Parts: sequence; structure tokens; C-alpha cells
Amino acid sequence: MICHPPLTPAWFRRCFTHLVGACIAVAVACAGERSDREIIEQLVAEADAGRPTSELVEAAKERGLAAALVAAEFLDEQQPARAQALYEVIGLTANCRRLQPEILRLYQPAAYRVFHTPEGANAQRQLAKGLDWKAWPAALPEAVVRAAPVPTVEWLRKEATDAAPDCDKLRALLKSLGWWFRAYSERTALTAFQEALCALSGNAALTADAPTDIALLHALADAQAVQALDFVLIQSRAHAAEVRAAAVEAMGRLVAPPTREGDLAQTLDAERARALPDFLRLARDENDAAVLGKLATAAESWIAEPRVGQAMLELFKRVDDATTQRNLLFAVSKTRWPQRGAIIQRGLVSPGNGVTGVALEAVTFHPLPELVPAVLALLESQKEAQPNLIDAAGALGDARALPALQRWLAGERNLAVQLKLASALENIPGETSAAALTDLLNRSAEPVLVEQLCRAAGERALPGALPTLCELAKDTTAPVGIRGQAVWALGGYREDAARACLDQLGRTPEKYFPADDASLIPESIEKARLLIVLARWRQGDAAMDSELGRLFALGSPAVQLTCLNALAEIRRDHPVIASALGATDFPVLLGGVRAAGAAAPAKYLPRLRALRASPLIASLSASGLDTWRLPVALENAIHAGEAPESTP
Amino acid sequence: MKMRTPAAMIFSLWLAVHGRAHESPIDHVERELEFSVKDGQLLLDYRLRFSDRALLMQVGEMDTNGDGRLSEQETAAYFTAQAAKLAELLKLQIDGHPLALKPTGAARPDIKLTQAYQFCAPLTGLRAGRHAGLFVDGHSRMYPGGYRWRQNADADVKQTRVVPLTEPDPKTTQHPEWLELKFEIIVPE
Repeated sequence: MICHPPLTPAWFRRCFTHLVGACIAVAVACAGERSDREIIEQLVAEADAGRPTSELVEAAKERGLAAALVAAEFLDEQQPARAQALYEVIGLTANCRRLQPEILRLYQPAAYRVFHTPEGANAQRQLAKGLDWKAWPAALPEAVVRAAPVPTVEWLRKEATDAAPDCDKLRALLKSLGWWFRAYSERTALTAFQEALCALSGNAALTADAPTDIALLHALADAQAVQALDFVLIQSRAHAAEVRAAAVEAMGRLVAPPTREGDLAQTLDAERARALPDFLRLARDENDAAVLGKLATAAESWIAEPRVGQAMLELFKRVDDATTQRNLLFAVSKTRWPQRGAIIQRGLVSPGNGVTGVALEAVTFHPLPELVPAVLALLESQKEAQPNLIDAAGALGDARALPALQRWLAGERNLAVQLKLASALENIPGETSAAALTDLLNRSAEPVLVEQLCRAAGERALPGALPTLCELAKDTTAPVGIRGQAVWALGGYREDAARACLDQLGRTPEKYFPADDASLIPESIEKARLLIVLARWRQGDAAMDSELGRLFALGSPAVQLTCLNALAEIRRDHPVIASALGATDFPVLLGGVRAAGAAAPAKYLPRLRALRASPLIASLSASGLDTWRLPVALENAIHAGEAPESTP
Repeated sequence: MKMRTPAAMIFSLWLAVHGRAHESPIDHVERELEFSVKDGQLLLDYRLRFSDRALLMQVGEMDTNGDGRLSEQETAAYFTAQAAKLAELLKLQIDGHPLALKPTGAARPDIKLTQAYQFCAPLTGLRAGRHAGLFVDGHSRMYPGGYRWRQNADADVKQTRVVPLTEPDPKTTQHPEWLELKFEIIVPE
């Protein structure tokens, strides 16, 4: 790069910069009072003059899809800078297509008309007119995927029959489609896109181009286009290793048991069976490290297939490549193969490259007795605390691990490691671990650790911890989180001292959790008071029954969720669960489903079934939003309710 | 780290509240409010911005006949009920005396996925001078979230106007547990 000396003095450049900045600020400020058309016209003028447009693009974005429809009027193939800016507007405003249709109808009627009514297709064609241009603006692929599914599918279908498809454009479009599908944003045209992608797989001119072939394989997997499985299996025999790797990855993703909550009914058993011979062939014959790495990951799709487990055990013996071995151990964590112990065993004695660490992680998923000797041997060989090893020892719950864990705990200063050690001790039954946990609770001053130890004490009702829990529950100088946890832990004790402490707290909760304490946030006080009542109710104090209902009704959704989680933990029914199943707040509904499933699934079975059949659950499942696995919790609760032993 | 027991969930929720974490099943609500005085009425423009998940839950609540589609009657009934519920939760005091807020007009869902509500309260008998105002948002206690207090910088000093007294506090502005705003109503001579 050649740097030229400035042609103007510094003061002029500074003033000019400030002037331009001020103009942009004024333009943006004024945008609030201007029509969509005026904003787009100014954007066009700025883009055509080669000036920055990002502020105006942002202003147009705030106007929703109506601004995109205006922008479409100004699209001109001969004005690439303008087209780029306009397609940025179209892409940003059309991101709303991911929203549930009724939300769109209510909040953005213009977008609803374009995306969810038959006459919207014409508007989509206007938005996507750049698809036919010789050169595409960089922002076009994402914009048309979001804004114009109908013409985009048409364009893909045209390429599918073209003897000379435009591979560069296809790759760009397939990449944007992949992002869109992976976010579960497609609402209206998933099947049409899947079919168009399958049609592309039939174009030999396209698949002859390896990068485009790979992009197509990725897109097929992203779209869950299981119709294309035969094509993917054929590609797994391709000459180019990178194509085989992409095909193996796509194969695994296409036949994977559904993880998306809305697809749970779609088992894909037949497709998995169809792909199995090719998978086993690859496991036996493939030698390319990249392909084998993908193969190891794909293996987890056959979650309970012994033949795949055997093939993976043999593969683990056959290859030295650490990536493949690590991927295999990651896959093992998610499977139920009979050979999983043997594979983990080999990983535990691996010479290095991180394989042992992943094997230890796999132990936490499969704490099999046969793995105990190897983990104990590793414990003895390590002088300093190893997080993965601590987790594995805790998962195995073998008391022979205690000396090493206690030795590490004595010298450990890192809080994160201390927390892991406390968790491991908590999982190992017996008096020795109980004494170690009690001792740690009595001498620790670290709030997060104390909070965890309070919980452990409550779960195991550690006898020696009771005095400390009583002290903590009443200590107004202690962090409110610790006190709440100590209160809840006291509910797990049957001793008189615990009852007396909770009675004392319950008589004057305002003394211990004062509402005017500036150091406490109101919701924490509410939760603490609720936990006092919950703990007393847990101990069998019948007088708390109605008080619990009263506090629940007054509480915020967060407080109600705390209550429902507590009921789920102790598996006890209370009328608040029934009210939670009719809640319109997400966290309360989530807590209600979990509590119903844990406490009295048969009793709530009709309510749970009705909930599963509701449009709300269908919308949540299909939304791509974080549902905290509510649909899965609902399935599990219904399953528990249908089990014969759950009949009241 | 995977959650093993509901106790761990309680533990994590407690931490979430204290740590102001955003990975939470609790849906935060952002709010924007503006006070003004017109024709002897204190007007409150109150906007709520819900998460996508909360909007979905609301659609379920609006869809009273369960057909998966929202009719105009269903949405109108919902917003009317919401406005009435909000009016109960929003507490106002002028010179220490409670004033009841009443919903005015229909709530508007808008393009930014916000719901705009208008409330009013009569300002009868206010003499010239400064009058202490307090606004307590009970809705924020149930549904915490950030807020923005819009102020009219060009208010005519010859007219009765609202002047905020609450300074934005970085500790609470981002995520108030319970929104309390102090202001003054200045009635000119």
C-alpha cells in the first residue's frame, strides 16, 4: 500500500470530519420523523455518491419490512453500491420472518402479508430481483434467504436443471441457507427448500465441482433433507477425501436421532438402518484422518447400535490419530454401546494428546465399575489436582478415591477446583466423605463454596453440619444466597434443633430478612421467606400448607419457579403445581411441568396431555428459541404418568 | 456443567439473580416510560418490550379458543385486560397522596415488538409550585428488566411540567428489581 502525504492541513481535516459526523448525526436524528421512502431515498443518494450508508441502513431497519419494500423499488443492477446497501436493509428487516406467524400478524402486518399470504409472493419477487443479475451484491444471499423464499426456491430449481450452473453464486446462497436452517428460522418453506436442494443433487455439472458439492452436502444436513440420503451415501464413496468427509458428516447429521424438540416423534430409524452398511464399510476401510475424524463424530447417531460400538472399538485400536480418538470418546459419552467401557478404558491409558482428558469426561457420563481401577491408578499418579479426574472420581463414587481427593483439597487454593472437589466428595457415600464435607463447611469462608456445601449438607443431612446451618440461616451478615440455601437445607433434617431454628425464622422472617435492607434485592428476600415456609412444610408442618399457596400466588415468576423446583426435588405434590400448569409465564409453566412429572405424574396426566396438544407447545417447539427443554420435560412427565407404578 | 438435581437448579437460579445472568428461564422485560401533563391530567406513556419467548407465551394466552390463530376480538380483549392489570400494578403518589392511573385508549402493538400503553391520572387542585411525585412500578417487580425514562427536554416552562429527580443509577438502571422513580411536577405561577 502506498501512503500519500495529506493535501490539506490538519485543522481542515479535523473540521471536515466533525462536519461530516454532525451531518450524519442530524440525518439519523431526523430519521425518526421521516417517512420510509425519504429514508430510503437518502440512503440511495448517499450510496450513489459513494458515501457511508451504515447509519441510514440502521434507521431503515427500524422501520421494518415496509422499508424493505420501498428499497426494492430502487434496486438497480447498474448501481452496485446502492444495491449492496439496499440488500443490507432487506436482509435486516426480513430477519423477522423467523417469528411465529401470529406474532408477525400482530406486530408487523406488512411482513405477515409478504410471508404468509398468497399475494406476498409477488412482493417477494420484487425483493429478490437481484437473483437474476449477472453479479450479486455481497448482501444478497442472506437477504433473499430471509426475505424471499419463493423466488429463492425457484432460482435453486432453475440451477438444478442448468447444464452450466453458477457454482460461485450457489455456494454463497447455500452458505446463507445453512445459517438460516441451523438457527431453526425457516417457517414457511422448509419442505420446498429441502426439495430444491435434493433437485440440485441431481445436477452432475454441479456435483462435479468439489467445493460446490461440499457446500451442497453441508446445506442438505443443515436443512435436515433426509430425502437426499441416497445421494449422501453415494458421495461417501467419492474420490476426493474432502468430499467423503463432508458426506460422512452429512450422513451422521441426517440420520441422527432428533435433538430438536419439535421433531421428537420423527425417529429416523429406517434411514439409520439404510445408512448403517456404508458407515460400517467406512469404519473398516477408510484411512484418511479427516474422514475418520468425521466418522467418529457421526457414530453417535447410532446411539444404541452394538455393531457401531464394535466398529468404533476396532477403529480406536486401529488408528493413532488423536483427533479421531478424541472425537470417538466424545461420541461414546452420548451413546449406550455395550463396548463403551472398553473404548473408554483404552482412552484412559492413552499416551496423551488430550485423549485421556476426554476419556475421563466420558467416565462422568458412564461411571462403569470396570473403569474404577484405571481412574484410581490415575489419581495415585497425579500429585496436583486435575479437574477431569476429580469429576470422574466423583461420578464413580468409589470411596477408595477419597484419600487422593482429600489430599488435593487440603492444598487447593483455586475456588473452581475446590467446588469440583466438594462435588466429588458429595457424590461419594459414607462417613469419611460426610466428615470431610462437614469439616469444609465449618471452616470455609468462600461464599460460593459455602453455598454449595449447604446444599450438600441438606441433601445428605450431614449430622455435624446442623449447628453451622442454623448459624448461617440466622446470620444477617451472611450473603442472602447462603442463608436461603441453609434454610432449605434445614428442611432436610428431622432433628429438633432444625425445627427450632426454622420456627424461630418463621415467627419473625422480617427480622432475619428485612424488606428495608438495602443490601438485599427484593426478590431475594421473597425467595428466602418462601424457602423458610417450604423448609417447614418439608418437615411436615401442616400449617405451612396454605401459607405456601399464599406466598406462591404473591410471588414473581422467579420466586414461583424456585418453589416449583423445590417441590420437584422432594417429589411432593401441592396445589400450586396445578396452578402452574395453567401459567402464562414461561418459567412457571416449565417449573410446573417438572414438578408435576416428579411429584404426581399420574394425577396430572390429563393436564399434561392437554398441554402437549396445545398450539402453544407446538409453537415453542418449532420456535428455535431456548425452551429449556420444556417439550422434553413434558414428554418425560407424561411418560412417568403413563408408567403402571405411578398410578395413585 | 450439567445440572444433576433440581437442587442444583435452585442453586443456579439463586446465582442467576445475584450474578445478573442472562442465561435464564426468566424472561426480562425492557420498559420505556414518559410522563407529561396535558389538560390537567398526568399522562404516562408506558412501553414494554418482551422477549420472543414471552411473546409466544402471550400469543398462547390471547388465543382463548385454542385454534392457533388470533382474532381481533381475542387480541383486543387481551390488551384491554393487560392495561387494566398494569393500572393496578403501577402506583403513583403526588405530595404523598395516591393517585389512580387509568388506561386511556387501546394498547398498540408496534413494529419493534413493543406494546405501548397510555395511562392518565387527574391532577386536580395542584397549586403553583413544586409537587413531589413518586412512581412505583409493581410490574417491574414481577418482570424485571432494564428501563429508559424518556424526558421532554423542550418542555415549555410556562406550562405545568414533569421534572425527573431520580438519577440514572448504573447499578439499577440495567436491571431494576423494583422500579421506583421520583419526580417533581412544577406548576407555574
